[in-house]
Amino acid sequence: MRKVLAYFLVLLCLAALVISQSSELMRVWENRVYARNQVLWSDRYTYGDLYGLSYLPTFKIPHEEALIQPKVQARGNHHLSIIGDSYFYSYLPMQAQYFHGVQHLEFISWSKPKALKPLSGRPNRLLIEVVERNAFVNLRLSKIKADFYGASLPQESHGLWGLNAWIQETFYHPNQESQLAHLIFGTHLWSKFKEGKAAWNYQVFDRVDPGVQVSQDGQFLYLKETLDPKLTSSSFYPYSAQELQALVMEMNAIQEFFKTKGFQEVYFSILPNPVRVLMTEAKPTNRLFEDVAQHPQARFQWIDARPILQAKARSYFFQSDSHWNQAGAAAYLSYLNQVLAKP
Amino acid sequence: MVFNSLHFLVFFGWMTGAYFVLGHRWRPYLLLLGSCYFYMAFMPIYILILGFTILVDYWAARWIDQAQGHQRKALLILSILANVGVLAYFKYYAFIGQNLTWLVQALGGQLTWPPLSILLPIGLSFHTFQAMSYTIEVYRGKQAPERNFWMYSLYVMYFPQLVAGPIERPQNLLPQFHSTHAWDANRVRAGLLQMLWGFFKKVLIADRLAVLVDHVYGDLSHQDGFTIGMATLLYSFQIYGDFSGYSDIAIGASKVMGIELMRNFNAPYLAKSIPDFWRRWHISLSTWFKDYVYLSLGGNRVPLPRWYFNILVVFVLSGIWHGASWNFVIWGCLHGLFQILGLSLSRLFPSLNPANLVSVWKIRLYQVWTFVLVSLAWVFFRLTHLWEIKAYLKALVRLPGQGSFGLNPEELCFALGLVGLLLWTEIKSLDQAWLRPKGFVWKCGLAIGLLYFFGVFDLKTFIYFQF
Repeated sequence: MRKVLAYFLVLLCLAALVISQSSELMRVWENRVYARNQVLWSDRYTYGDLYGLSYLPTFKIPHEEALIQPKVQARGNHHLSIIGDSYFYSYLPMQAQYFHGVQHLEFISWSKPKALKPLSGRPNRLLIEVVERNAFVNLRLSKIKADFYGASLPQESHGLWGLNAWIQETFYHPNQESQLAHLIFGTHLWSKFKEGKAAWNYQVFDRVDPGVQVSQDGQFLYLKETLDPKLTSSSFYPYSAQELQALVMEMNAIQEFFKTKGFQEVYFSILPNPVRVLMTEAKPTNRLFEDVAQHPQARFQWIDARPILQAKARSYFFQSDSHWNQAGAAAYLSYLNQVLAKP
Repeated sequence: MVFNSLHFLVFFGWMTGAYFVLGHRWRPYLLLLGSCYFYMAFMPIYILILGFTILVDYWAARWIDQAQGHQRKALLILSILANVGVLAYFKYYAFIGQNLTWLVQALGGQLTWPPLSILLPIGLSFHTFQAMSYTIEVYRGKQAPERNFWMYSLYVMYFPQLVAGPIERPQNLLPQFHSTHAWDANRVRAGLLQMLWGFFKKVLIADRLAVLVDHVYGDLSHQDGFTIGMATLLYSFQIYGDFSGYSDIAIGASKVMGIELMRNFNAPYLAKSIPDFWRRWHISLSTWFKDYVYLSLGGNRVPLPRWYFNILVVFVLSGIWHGASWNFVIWGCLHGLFQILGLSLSRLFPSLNPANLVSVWKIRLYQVWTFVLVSLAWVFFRLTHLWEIKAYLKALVRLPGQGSFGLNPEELCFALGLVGLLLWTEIKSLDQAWLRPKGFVWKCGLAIGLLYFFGVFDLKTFIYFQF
């Protein structure tokens, strides 16, 4: 019996090590076990990505990350390329028919960049969507050139360092710890324990997961990086005039760069951090959106959806997620189509 | 791979299961394979450094055994030079270069020291000292050279103590690798309980205190004398919980597999004097320095000034062993000076000698005083730059009311309660009672429950990993 238990332990641990060191196997596990299994389903995203980080039981609000079903738009002959993030691909259907005047649509995620190519013989438009917390990092021409046009392709290591890289890739995953945590404790079967610990730490020690912060009114969870004024990702970051100028100049340069690549029109759309539009904190946010829009050297087309989202902010954002909800996504798409419809 | 990670727990589960499934003959090879996997999780290629040390010392020991007269000494020196050379290159290169550059510039010259942009191999000082201990023992005739190369490799690479000790002696470890270790449920339980006690000290005490200590030390310019004083005292418990927690996990993990490692801590903050502290703190290192440096210099069987010099040399070397930076040298010097001062006072006033104390209150007073001295020295362990030390001293004389602990009052009380609990368990020797396998199931349940609900799991690495 002892030997059987030992064999069981060996196999179990080996399986955990093998699965957690491979992104592909983890995806298979996610899709085959957590997504389809009635017993072992994962609680990581079911109640919002910030609930899945903090496990605060008061924010256990079921919601689906489903695509919205928008109205079909008038068809045109434009080719629209979009560089965007999960605000888009998790909520908006990436099909040409839902975008005004568009015949062909290409969506490229910031996380999986590849070279953008305009279609010949038709007007090409490019929409660069970025969430506010990533604006200072992503809106840099050098980054776009590097990420999207191959300048940052990993250099292949040779010799001993090549062997080193091979061993690391084969036997160890850079996120192995979090993958193991998700593999072992990702299932909802542990929810009560996770919530118990989170509730205790929050109520007694006023502590939540280091990546998350509860809003001052206690109604929303935010990514902490969007509130920490020391970080450029924060809506309270006191950027200097030079930093603002640099951002605007980078956006001008990015626009010029893509125009030389063959895009006739380049639009920028910075989506506000939820905390900016929900206004739950006692202190005022910075004036990034106003300052970018009014900057005398701004030469780009700017889609500022902030007023639209701010108008009904509480119905456009989840309480326990870093994203907008389906209504917010629909409102944004409607506004975007109005902009695209303008001659 | 740090002990307080899921990665280690799963690896350890796999290792232990496989260890008891395999026949005795194959177990050392499994341990060696597992140790390679464990070490390579940090930087795979650095295993070549270990390989170099192992090869050099394996053959040096065999040749020392066969050689006669001066040849033996020459071989030992060569082996030590190779080990110290590796240590100097990876750990002290930048420090030596920085100081040489300053010196040459002070003398009006110009020196360009080429930078070395490599990571410090993890636990380098630990396994280098362990490897050196083997060749020295063979040279002294106290240890026969190991014939089996893989067994010797395991002696240097044995994963529980590979990166932060205890620094073992060949006489203790090598015979255990050769002997068979049958399943012993009580031993396995005791090992697991010791691991849990180690996790308790690391995850519950050290990492929670780290929040407070990091907050205060991270912003010295906004602290006052009270917060600085508290952080100084609590840092002593943080580093103790951190390092002794690591040692407990290492000793416990090894015990599960039937291999006993030496005790590395023995209630050090109950020490009555600085020499007593060093008999209780990082015992494997202090005995290493005593056996191979202090006694080689003549120990205390020399004239008084030379004795004091020997003490100072050992502590300065101990400081340098910890890190390539002047703050560690100062830390070592302070301990040496405290020790010399204590010895001098005891010689002048025998009634002050801690060994002669009878009254419980006097003993407690000496314990508190020793703790205060040790805590003051720890400041130089924590602060690495001169400007930090200046800021620390400025904050120390600032009036109370301006600082903050970075913890809310409840958490601060909880942290202080944990420190009290740690001290209480050591005064009452409850930690030893905990290790008895009786009541294993409820002890495990209690420990896991406490660890889960009250532990801080942010994968803070162990302080001693940097050495």
